[in-house]
Amino acid sequence: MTEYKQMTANGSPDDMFTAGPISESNFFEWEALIQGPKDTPFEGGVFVAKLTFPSDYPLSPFKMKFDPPLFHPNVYPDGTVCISILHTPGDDPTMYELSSERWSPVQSIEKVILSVVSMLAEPNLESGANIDCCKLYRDNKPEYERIVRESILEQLGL
Amino acid sequence: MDLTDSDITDPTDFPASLPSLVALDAALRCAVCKDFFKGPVLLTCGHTFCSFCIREALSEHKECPSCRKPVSDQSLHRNTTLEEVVLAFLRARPEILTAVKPPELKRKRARSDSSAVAGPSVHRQDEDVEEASDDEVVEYSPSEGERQRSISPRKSKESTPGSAAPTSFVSCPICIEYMPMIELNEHLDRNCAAPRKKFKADEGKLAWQSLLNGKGKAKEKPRLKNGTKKRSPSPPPTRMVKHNYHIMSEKDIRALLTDASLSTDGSKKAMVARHSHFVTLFNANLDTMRPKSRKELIKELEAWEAGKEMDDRQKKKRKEKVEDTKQYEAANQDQFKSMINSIKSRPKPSSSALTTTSAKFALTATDETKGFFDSSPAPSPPKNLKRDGENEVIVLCDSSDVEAL
Repeated sequence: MTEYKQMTANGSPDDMFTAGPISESNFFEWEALIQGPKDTPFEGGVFVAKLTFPSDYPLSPFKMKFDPPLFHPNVYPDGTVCISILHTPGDDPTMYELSSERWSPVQSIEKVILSVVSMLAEPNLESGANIDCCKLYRDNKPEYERIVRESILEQLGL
Repeated sequence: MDLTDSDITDPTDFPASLPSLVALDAALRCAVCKDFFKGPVLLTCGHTFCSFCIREALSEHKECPSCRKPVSDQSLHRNTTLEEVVLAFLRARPEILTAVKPPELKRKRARSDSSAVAGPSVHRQDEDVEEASDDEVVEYSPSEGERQRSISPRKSKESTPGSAAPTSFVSCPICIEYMPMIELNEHLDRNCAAPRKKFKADEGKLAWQSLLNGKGKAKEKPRLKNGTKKRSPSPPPTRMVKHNYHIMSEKDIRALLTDASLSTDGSKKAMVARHSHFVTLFNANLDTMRPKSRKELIKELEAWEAGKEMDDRQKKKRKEKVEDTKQYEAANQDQFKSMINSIKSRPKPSSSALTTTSAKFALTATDETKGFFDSSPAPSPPKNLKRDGENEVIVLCDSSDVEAL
């Protein structure tokens, strides 16, 4: 129910991203369009992410899934985003995140997407979700950047 | 749940050119629900939230959602002053919006008061401040309150009872008065004279009553008295206690629910959820200026439970889909086949894709090989094989890389 308000609370995001419910009938499924941040390999790309809200939102965080999946160290191969701000203090998949970085009901969709954007620019290798990608990023960054650029071009149909 | 888009307010209703107003609006909102404070309570750390929001949040984690300092729900204090500020702002908001915004962008909320600009606005604002403390419900169910206020003949011309339909306001090109688009033609036909008053049946009756009682102008007063009467018999605030449901038997919980005159249906889990949610609702209700009746609370509880049930059912449905793979496969066979065919008919992967995979493999190699890559960018394949038998696969990959290039 709060998403109603959220929708308008997020009514004026900057040009980096937009978000809104997929259909008028179901406010628990949102879609977000995110622009790749400048001066990163993701520049120029437009990424579609699906946001799924639990019924007790904002007590529990929503889930974010890139569709199609994104090649990034902190994105699972199926597209799900792994970021500490979307984890409740209770569950800890990587066992070392500070509780201060975790989800709290005062977070908003806007804040989460902003941190996802900054995550695109600066991957957190310590809690990698896509291990292959992590290795590639650490050992051969130019190659990683090349793959990312290529996937963006492919996605845009170029 | 029947909120329409235009009933939802948010700080960006104010133009971005006036950041101070946007900030003021944002400052009067709860950080959890993003709505205006409803029964605000103060935490020991200094942060304020809606009573309901913070109580619900504390049932999950005993910390302030903003600064994560530990908080217990016994230490919450009502912030009545803030509540008054919020209510006063809510009354002033439509007027500020009208004063500040070009008429086309006005929201429905602002509409009913839109032409008040032309009227004696100072006088109206005074009224609003006086009323503020008694008129809490107005913001959340505006239609009734506003309709009642428009009984006054002077104002009713501004918000015609049936004004729900028009979508935009325009300014009359002759007299500059604001009005809904559909009324403009009629207005011009009348040479900019005030429109004839349209009354709904009951409103007409009320207007006659007020005339007969000779209370022409002071008809707000009886309403106020009514409001205070309604408020006074509120029961002394005795909060409900949270129980430790884990150590209670199903029977005890059932007794608790009967005590609170709630339904005792469903599993133990459902009953616990029901009781704890009701306690939250009930205690939060005590923090508002005009508490709702128990009946309303129980209705809210039922609505909450219905929503939760629907959610559970949807989750189950999703699970079933996954479990029923064979049936799912059979049902979607055509689709699968067409997908397989489309992949088969696709052109073979390009050389760039090959280099991608080979590069991935190369990364798994030992440091020695990597150093080798760096030093000689285009080695001949046989030399590679001789040099490092251990990493044969990788080196082979490298050779394919070179060939592809």
